Amino acid sequence: MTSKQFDADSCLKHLQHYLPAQAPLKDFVHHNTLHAFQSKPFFEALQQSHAIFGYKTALSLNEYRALYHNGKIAEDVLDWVIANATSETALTDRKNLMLNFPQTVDYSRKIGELRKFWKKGLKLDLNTIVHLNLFKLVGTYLDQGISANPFPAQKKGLLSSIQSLEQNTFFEFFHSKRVKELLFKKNKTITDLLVILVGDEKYFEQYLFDQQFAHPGWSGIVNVIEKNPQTLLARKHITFADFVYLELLLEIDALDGIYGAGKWPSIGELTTEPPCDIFQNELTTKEWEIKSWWQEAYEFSFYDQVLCGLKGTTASQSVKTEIPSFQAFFCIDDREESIRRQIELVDPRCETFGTPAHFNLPIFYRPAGGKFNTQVCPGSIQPEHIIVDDRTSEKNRRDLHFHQTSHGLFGGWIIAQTLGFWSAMKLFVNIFKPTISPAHSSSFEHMSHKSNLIIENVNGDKLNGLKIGFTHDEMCTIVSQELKKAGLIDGFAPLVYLFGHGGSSTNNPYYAGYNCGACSGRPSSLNARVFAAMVNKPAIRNFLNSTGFSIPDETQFIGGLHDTTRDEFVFYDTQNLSARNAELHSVNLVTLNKGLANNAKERARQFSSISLNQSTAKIHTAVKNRSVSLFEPRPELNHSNNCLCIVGTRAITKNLFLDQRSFLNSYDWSLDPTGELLTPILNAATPVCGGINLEYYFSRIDNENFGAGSKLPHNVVGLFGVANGIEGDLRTGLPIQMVEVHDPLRLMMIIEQKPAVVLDVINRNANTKQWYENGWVNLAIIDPETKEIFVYRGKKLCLYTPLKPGLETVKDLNPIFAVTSENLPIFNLN
Amino acid sequence: MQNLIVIFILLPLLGFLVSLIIPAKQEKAISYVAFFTTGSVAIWIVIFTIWWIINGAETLNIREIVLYKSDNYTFLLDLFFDKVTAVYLLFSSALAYLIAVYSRHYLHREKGYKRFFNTKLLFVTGINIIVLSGNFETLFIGWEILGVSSFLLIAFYRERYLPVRNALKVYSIYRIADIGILLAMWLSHHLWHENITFVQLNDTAYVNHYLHEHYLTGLFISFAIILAAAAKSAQFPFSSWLSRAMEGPTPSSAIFYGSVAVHIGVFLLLRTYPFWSVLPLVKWNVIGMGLTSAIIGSVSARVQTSVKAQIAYSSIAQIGLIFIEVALGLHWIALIHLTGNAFLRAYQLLISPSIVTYLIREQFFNYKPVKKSKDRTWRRLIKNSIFVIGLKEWKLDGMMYKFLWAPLKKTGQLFHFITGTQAIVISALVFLSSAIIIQQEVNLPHVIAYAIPEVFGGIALIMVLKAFTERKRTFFAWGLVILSHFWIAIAVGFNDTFSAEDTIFYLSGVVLSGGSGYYFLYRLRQRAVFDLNDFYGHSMEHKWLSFGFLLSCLALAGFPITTTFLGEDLLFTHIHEDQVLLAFFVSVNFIVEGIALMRMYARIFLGPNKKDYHPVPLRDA
Repeated sequence: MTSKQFDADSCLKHLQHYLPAQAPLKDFVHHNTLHAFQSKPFFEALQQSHAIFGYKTALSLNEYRALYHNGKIAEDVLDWVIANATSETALTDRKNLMLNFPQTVDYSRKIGELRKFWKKGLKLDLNTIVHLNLFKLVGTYLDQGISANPFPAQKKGLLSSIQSLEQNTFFEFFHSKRVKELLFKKNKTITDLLVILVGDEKYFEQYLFDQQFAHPGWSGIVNVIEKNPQTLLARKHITFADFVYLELLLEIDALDGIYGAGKWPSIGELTTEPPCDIFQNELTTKEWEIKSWWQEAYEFSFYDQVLCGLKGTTASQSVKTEIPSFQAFFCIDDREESIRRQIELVDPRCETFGTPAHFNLPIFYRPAGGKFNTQVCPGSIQPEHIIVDDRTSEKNRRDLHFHQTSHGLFGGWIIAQTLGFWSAMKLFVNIFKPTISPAHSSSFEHMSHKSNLIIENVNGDKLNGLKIGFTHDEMCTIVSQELKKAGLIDGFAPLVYLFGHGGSSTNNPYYAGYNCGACSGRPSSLNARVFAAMVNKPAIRNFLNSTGFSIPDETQFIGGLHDTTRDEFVFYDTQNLSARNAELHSVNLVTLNKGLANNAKERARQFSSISLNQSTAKIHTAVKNRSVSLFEPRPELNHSNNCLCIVGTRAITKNLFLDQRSFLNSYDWSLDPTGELLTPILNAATPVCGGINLEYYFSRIDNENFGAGSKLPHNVVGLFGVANGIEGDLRTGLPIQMVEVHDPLRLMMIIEQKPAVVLDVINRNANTKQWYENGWVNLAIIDPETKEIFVYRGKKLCLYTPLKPGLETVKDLNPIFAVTSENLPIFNLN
Repeated sequence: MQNLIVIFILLPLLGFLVSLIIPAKQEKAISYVAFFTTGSVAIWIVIFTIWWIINGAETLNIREIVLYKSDNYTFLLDLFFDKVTAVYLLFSSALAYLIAVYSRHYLHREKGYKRFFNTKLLFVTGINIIVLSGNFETLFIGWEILGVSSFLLIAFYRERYLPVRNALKVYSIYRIADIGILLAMWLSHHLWHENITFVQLNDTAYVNHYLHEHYLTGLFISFAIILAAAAKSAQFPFSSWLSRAMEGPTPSSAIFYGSVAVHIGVFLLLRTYPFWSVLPLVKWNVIGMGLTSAIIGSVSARVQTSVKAQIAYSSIAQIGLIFIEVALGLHWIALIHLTGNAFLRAYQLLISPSIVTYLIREQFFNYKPVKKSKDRTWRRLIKNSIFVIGLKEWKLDGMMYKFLWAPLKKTGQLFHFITGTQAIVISALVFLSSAIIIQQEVNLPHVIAYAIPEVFGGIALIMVLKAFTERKRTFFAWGLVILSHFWIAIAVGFNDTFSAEDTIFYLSGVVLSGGSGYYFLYRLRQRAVFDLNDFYGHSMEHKWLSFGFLLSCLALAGFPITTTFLGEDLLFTHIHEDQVLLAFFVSVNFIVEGIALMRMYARIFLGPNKKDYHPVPLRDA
């Protein structure tokens, strides 16, 4: 290592790869927390990241054992897992090890081993001196509007701005003369500073890792902003290299301040240990091997029920004959599983579909009066189109409590004695009768009813280089592809609803995480409305009907929004309905509203603070109140417990109670013999659902490091992040309130299609393939013709016969809901 | 009716005790206790105030519940009710109730649900005692309770490092405030030769008469009071703690550091106004301090990028203004300002998570890029300087460390050579001979008799300083704290008035808490590894030992649960007015001792518990 010249750029690049990739709050999108390790097999990655960072990456042996003793891990599944495991341990010893192997007690991590020598050698807590200054300086530079006095000397880049500040002030940030010289130096290299601080080159890389992973939150946000500057509305130019340079400067300045320039030893001289190769591969230990068995047994204890249920229903697949009463598209989101089931229970003649709720529209959106574009499609897409609301702006409600005036000396003097008393009233009212306030984030606000959207692009108009709306041809492609993917080409009902979804909450910095993942953390109402408008155009209809579709002329599409927190629907452009359809719509409304209320009741069981011994309407009101209460940290439970993604026809899942645990993507295998439709489905669903699932998994397993801890002490920083108190690092991941009821299981992707087709599709995309090959997502395939189930294990398909003989059949779920808030098993309905 | 005033104290105290025995899983029961307790207090203050106004709104003084009495010392509880009490109780009870209802839902399923409500009820008890107190002795009980409940709420997330460190930081500042009260009490005894009540202070002629004769003593008492008020209200130079206290769940920050607790310094000033306002120097000092705090507070508030820090500094600035209003005698304005500010900041803190939704929406629709400033050089210079100094919070946090804690640490480290055996043997010999001297009333040469209390006081101080800086030997440090109590008792014992009964009364509490603390440490030693060089977080796996040891620490630090508490005041009474050095030693001793004990508790039982099988939070998390 010493022979090579230290390459700062590649070292930083390597480091950046491991930083948390969470965007600022307003753009919160789920992703695999351990994305940096995704090129390794799942359990290897768990073990290695645990060894490097000391984070917990799987349950402890005793936690698994407790699950086993509580019956959450089934005995027969456990036996099946160990019987099929490849291991050096003799088959007969395996169970004994699982039950009795002692768990490791002593805590260790590779990160921080070098840095601790500041403390050991100099009796100095460098972090305490440097971090707060670093966080404040970078925080104020990036601030989006909390402070009244923004960073006064904005130049292009963090370091040049600090230079400009430092040149024009009586009070300086840096005190050491040589640090000032280093700040103003022309050709700045990190290596120069490392020579001073670390001395010996062989420790450079380790030092940088130790330093940056002492505050992964701040390093991560700087890295994200460097890569996506548009994620901050008030753009800031910042590079990760500048950030590291600044931190090194602050460290030298701190040490110079205490000991005098050049009068302190570098850490290379203080350490007594050779440099550590942090990323050296770990040999699988016995404990980790046992953990992997436990985790699989835990997962298959659940999957087995699902596969058993699916096998049962595929056998009795019915052929549809009559025209449904109505059809409704929902997002594939796991939260929409229950609403679909509830609506179908109210009206068994209706038909529902699942599709990613950006509805195949690669777009930005600019609302009336908006100064920015908002992306409303998956983050992986670079949209070239924009939908514009062609009206003048609307007035927003104002609340002086959030404004700077109250923080000024004289403004504060007046406001405290006037508005202060009004605050008490407001608090009183909100506590006893929660209502919507300017503090509220509502899914319905995303796009106004009155919006005048420009959907069709006739003249080639552009805004900021983006095409406004779509041309006729573009619309045809989008619409036909979308309907085909869902398997809907004939048998259209008179009314087809398209529901986007979003969440509403108050006092919640995580509001973006409540919205549609396929729309980059925004509600998907706009997409639903635009898609409906497109498919209602006669010209588009003509095209569709000429290419294999048979959509009756009287069929109309309605865009809508499902608020998953409040369980409410809104519908757009219903004034365009024909008289007959308007009548049908009002009939359907009764069904839909009943479904919503029942869904609210089903969800309420998990809140445990709402009594289920009252009328459904009252429960529904209580559920709605959660979204506007200041004091409700769990307006809804989001994706908690997600662990399935089923790609197939509704027929195979319709009779199953999946307890909001499954993403459901409609797909008709019979229309897709070559896998052409399945390819985009899997390429989109695998990273999105897998990302959500793994973020929940890791935030639940180690809520202190992968998760954000409890959200109750959180303090908003710069409008882009949260920290605990005023001195803490930025917190990434999900707060405990979002994940506490989540069972940490990996996602199982279940596809209804011939195995050969699925394997072919997976092999087409290396990124998608990696998820399955390395076991970050499990895979099962149901052959629709033979009804055989295959499970993908060890990079090959194995025939799987469910261990469970059959599922319990339940006619009415309500008595079960009333007595337990626990996660339920899978039931067969009717 | 006026005797029913005790309800304000007994009700929350009862609520606190009941909440202690409810099992932690019974969220509903716990929250109902808090709900009904704070609700009843809120209703009761409304009824009481109406009754009081109808009856002419005269100042009430309910005297004399004697807690301890010896030949020339009595500890009296005395209650008092006037417009300041009424206003403070009205708004603090309203907020306590609203926050109790708020937290019922907000803290649902939180690990420390029970702890939160226990602490909150303890806090309400403490505040009500302070606000209703009729003399310094009574006030001091509430003052201590407030300090401990603050520590517990800041360190609510005890498995993380920063909350624990900041809790210690704030507790240290609070301890300084405690000493302000203790010193004020000490000199008051000598000034008035009795337990002065606040109602007596309202007698202007009486106060004037005494202050005329004892100007310096009066000045000293006033500054002790102002020190206490400034420390608790985060005024200059103590301002940096307030934002660092925002570590607990948001509602606790709202009621403590947004409103009720942080305004208590104002209350103290209002309560003692008739006394110190007689002295113009003091008045000007309060005005100067208020003005300084207002300026540094608002400058810092303008550049903070985290919501809670911003609210904290805005609040400090307003409290600075309130200090000025109090000093100018504008008491109704001060009361209105105080109430409004408390409500405003509490509410701003509660809705602080919403600021993202709100301001991002504002920004989305109203964004205007910052214009390149075309300021002249000198304006830019001033602007930038203010920005930097505000961002650095006027370096007050660093200064606290440099001027207060670092000297103490350095002094303690000078005595690292002391060993346990030495300390015990020498102490035992000295105690024995001293006991004989005192008992036999041996006549010592005048100089020696004069010097002994001071010397012994100094030795006691060295012992706690050593305990404060000890990093390895836990039992040794614990022993030193106990020994130091003995040294103080003997030191004061040489002052003839301090009787053997008084000594035994005082030391009985020390022996009890010292012994129990030893026992808990011993039990923990058998099960786990710890020293004082790191944070071990053993409360996670040894809950009961942690609770027991906390009680022992509190008792030993003079928290009102054993006789040590009364003993402290008793001791001070027997320090003569001219023994300034001894008074200094003893008061510094109490400050450092309290901090040393909480530091021990924090290092052994709080902070991250490092085990492979559960999550270990980062130091900076």
